[in-house]
Amino acid sequence: MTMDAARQTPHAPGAGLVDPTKQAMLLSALYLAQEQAGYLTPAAIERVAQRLGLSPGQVYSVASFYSLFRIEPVGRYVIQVCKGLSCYLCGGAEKVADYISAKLGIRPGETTPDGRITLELVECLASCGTAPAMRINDQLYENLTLDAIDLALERLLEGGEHG
Amino acid sequence: MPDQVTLTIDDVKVTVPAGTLVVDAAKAAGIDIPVFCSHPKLDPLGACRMCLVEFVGSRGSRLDTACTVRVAEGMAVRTNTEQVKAVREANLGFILINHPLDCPICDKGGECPLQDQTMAYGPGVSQFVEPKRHKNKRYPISDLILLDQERCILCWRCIRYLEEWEDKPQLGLFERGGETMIDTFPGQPVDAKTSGSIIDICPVGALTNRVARFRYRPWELKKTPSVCNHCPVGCNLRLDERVHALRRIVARENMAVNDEWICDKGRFVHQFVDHPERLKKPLVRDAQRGTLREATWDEALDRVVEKLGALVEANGPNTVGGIASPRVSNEAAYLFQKFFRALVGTNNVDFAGGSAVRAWPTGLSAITDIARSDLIVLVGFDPSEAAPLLAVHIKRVVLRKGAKLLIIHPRRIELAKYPGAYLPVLPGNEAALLGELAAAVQASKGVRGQEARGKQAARNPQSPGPGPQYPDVVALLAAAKSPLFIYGPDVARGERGRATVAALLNLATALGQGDKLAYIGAGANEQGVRDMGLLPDTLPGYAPVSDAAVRERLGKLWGLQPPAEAGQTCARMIGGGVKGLFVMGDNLAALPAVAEALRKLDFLVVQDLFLTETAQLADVVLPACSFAEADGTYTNLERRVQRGPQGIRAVGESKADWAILTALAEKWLAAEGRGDRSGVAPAAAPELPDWKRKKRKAKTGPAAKPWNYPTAQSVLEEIGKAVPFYATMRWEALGEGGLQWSARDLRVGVRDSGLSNTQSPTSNPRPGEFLLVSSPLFWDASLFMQYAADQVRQLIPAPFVALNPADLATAKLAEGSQMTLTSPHGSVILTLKADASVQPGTVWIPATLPGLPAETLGGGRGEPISVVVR
Ligand code: SF4
Ligand code: SF4
Ligand code: FES
Ligand code: FES
Repeated sequence: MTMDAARQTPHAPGAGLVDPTKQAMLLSALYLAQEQAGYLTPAAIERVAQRLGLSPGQVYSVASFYSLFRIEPVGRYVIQVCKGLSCYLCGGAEKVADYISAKLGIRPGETTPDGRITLELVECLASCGTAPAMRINDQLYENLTLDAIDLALERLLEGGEHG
Repeated sequence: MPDQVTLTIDDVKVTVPAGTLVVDAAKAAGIDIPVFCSHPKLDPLGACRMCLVEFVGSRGSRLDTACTVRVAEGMAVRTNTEQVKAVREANLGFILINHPLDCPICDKGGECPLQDQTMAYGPGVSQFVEPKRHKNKRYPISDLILLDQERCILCWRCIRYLEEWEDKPQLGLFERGGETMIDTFPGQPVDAKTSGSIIDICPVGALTNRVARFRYRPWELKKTPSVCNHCPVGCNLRLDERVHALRRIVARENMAVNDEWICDKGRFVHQFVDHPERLKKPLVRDAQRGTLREATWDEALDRVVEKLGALVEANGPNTVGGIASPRVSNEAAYLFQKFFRALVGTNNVDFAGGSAVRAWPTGLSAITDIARSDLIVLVGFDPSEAAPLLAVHIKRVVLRKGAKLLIIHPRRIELAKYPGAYLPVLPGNEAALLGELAAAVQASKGVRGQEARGKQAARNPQSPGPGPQYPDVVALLAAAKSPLFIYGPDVARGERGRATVAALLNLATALGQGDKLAYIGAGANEQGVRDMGLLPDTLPGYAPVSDAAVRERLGKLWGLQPPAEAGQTCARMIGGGVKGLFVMGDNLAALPAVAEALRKLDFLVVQDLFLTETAQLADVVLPACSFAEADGTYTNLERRVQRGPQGIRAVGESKADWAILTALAEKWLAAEGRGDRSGVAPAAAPELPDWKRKKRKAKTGPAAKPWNYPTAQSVLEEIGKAVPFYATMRWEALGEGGLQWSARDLRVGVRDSGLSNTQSPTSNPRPGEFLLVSSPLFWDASLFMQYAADQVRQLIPAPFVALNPADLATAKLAEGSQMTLTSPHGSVILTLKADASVQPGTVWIPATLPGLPAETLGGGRGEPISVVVR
């Protein structure tokens, strides 16, 4: 039987020559990078990779794993409608999403032609107690009703401030 | 922790080293645990869950992955319970949910672990009625590899190979859950030089070879274990043949040489073997029309005997000579030099890049020594471009054992990113730099060092002032317990090369490591060709031609002794030293200046696979077989003699090099027997009766013995008699792993160790001038690349010159513009590239680009070449 010594000690000194403390900064670095353009541009990914001593592929693989990181451009405002179980039971995320879809003329995953608003369906927003819930950028909207949605969207369309 | 651990697997007691994985322990016990993600050469991961087995403990049994759990004393494992059977079935069911079951059209079908394990452990029926996931079925991850995203079972083997062996994490898993996909970062395809290895280890048909795909079904192939003919590593590989075509090449494990990897040249560059343009018949130049026309073997060989014979008779044997390629087999090289030495009577034999290079005759002590060294010193040698498998071994010892690299090279080569030191050096200044290092090492050793430094300074009168002290580099060298010093042909040519090698030896000796010096050549069989004495001043086995005892011994073996005076070098023969030339397997005339010189010859014979530029100039062209079509042995850079058996039928009427030489020698001898080489009778003429031949021989004194070589093996047998350290190298004895000859069998006199550095250092180039660096590039325009499959041929770069970005800025040159480069030897037009790896003041034009621009400017001559860019 051939036995590669290296297989027995995968973490031998120098293994990978990747600095673990730098690697641990990856998620924070991606978050910072995302704030700049609203999504992770290929250039941003390469920059993060370079700064942390990783390959762009490795960074991309992490970035694409988490739904909170975007690798495609989005609108200035991102509406995230919860499709989790509690929201589903308390009135139905579909209803909320369908309502917004109809109002804005875009389907989930799409951005308005003026590039301002993106609609998304996401997993639980950790606001089950006040379901149904949605988020516009960093601001959470709870106990949603159609009126509440109208109000929020009106403020958006008037160019109001959101997180 | 005890060294050995005993455990029980399915009632079999097995004792294995501590730290062994359960899956490997089971293998040792002869028990098969099915795996997908686990691979003996990759770190454990536990991604696929196929290897789940029961671990029986005091509180009952639990399931765990055999590929990640390490053995413990008294451990009890069960692999054959109902529970294990059930989870294997379930797991295969999960894996197959999205697997397309393309088996009938899948390259892997027939040698696919997923097929095999589904048959052995699968549920037998599918419960899945939903539609399968549809993905891209021909997704290119590089120019050479296609990914079928539907077939991928996400085992991470490909990802881990590139990370752990190549240190190029270019593949990753993207997205999440059911969307997960293997992919590359946009615009950054996989470019590792051994990327094809992931095709071999993919447990399904997800990664396919773009050159070989759809050209075979695995069970129809005739598989021949062979060795690679592209570089001197001599990786072990397998030739897969079907209906007389070479369908694909895969790696073959040899732990002493290539582990189980081969590089992408070894794997993908093989279409030259069954290329439609292969020469299928001998050609002779038509006397009337002056063009080449097809001929029979008899006619072609008779013509060679007649013309070469006439030249010998008229002007003496030293007016003809032979130049071979360092790629040819040992058998071909041996017979080639024997033909000239024993039959023609001249030492005019050399190979391209042969006598001009100061090669250390014993190569690398052993490839496995790389894994044992703590410092590798690379002087003018770039393994990543020239011998990729060595780069893989070097990266491994750096990543896994913390070895350091000291790199002395005019260009910041890829390996220079690893810990250690990179010393940029202007071409031609290597000897001076090494001298300074040796002096610094001596100085750091104290009093004795002081003297040596004085000596060094005296030797080096022109060295510009007291050299830098390189404290870090000296510390690095002094700390090394088992260093290796490797140099390549680029720093070993000509007089400067001699000085560099002497300086390197001084440095190694100063560190007490004089036996750790290694030369690594460029040709695939360069070591073997040197061993065979295919050099103008060296007989088989490295004896100088002046050695009377060896000449006498060879005389007994051959019937005639080789001459005592050294023959002409390759350069001299080309430069007008001979009137008749025999070129075996080398396209010398690709360089227009050489073509010009060859036109002046009275008679030129070329033996090759294709109608190369050189063959087009020839009077007789002899069609030779490739390495895949003929038995032969090849000696790699660690003196390992390896078999390359015939794996496919010879193309057309082409013949093995050794067989052509044997047929030629027979005709030569017959003509000699008749006493008239020049007036050879037509082929159909009856052979002279024996008695008449004998009479002639009796008159002419000692005669060459007949060439009786029915097979390559019989040539090897004679080599065993001619080259003492090949005595045990019998075909059968070599086996499938080859045999190394011992460096101790060759007492290498350290003939030049005291040689002083007589070369003045290269001065810094003047503004507007640059020093030429022509170190190799992996994907070049060498002959086999030109006749490779389209997929590979497109990788040949357009000819370019690379400058440091700072130099570009200073000279106000724009990347992508066409520039004229002029040196004392010639002038070329090239596209400009910016490349930070190129040192300021130098231009990098890799060797063997299309049109040979570096060579046209005089690169590869062993002297610094100054180039003006306009
Ligand atoms: S492509 Fe092959 S080796 Fe790579 S993860 Fe998929 S199945 Fe495994
Ligand atoms: S490293 Fe050299 S011997 Fe090995 S496969 Fe590549 S070219 Fe062939
Ligand atoms: S399910 Fe919507 S917030 Fe938790
Ligand atoms: S082989 Fe053990 S989890 Fe894949």
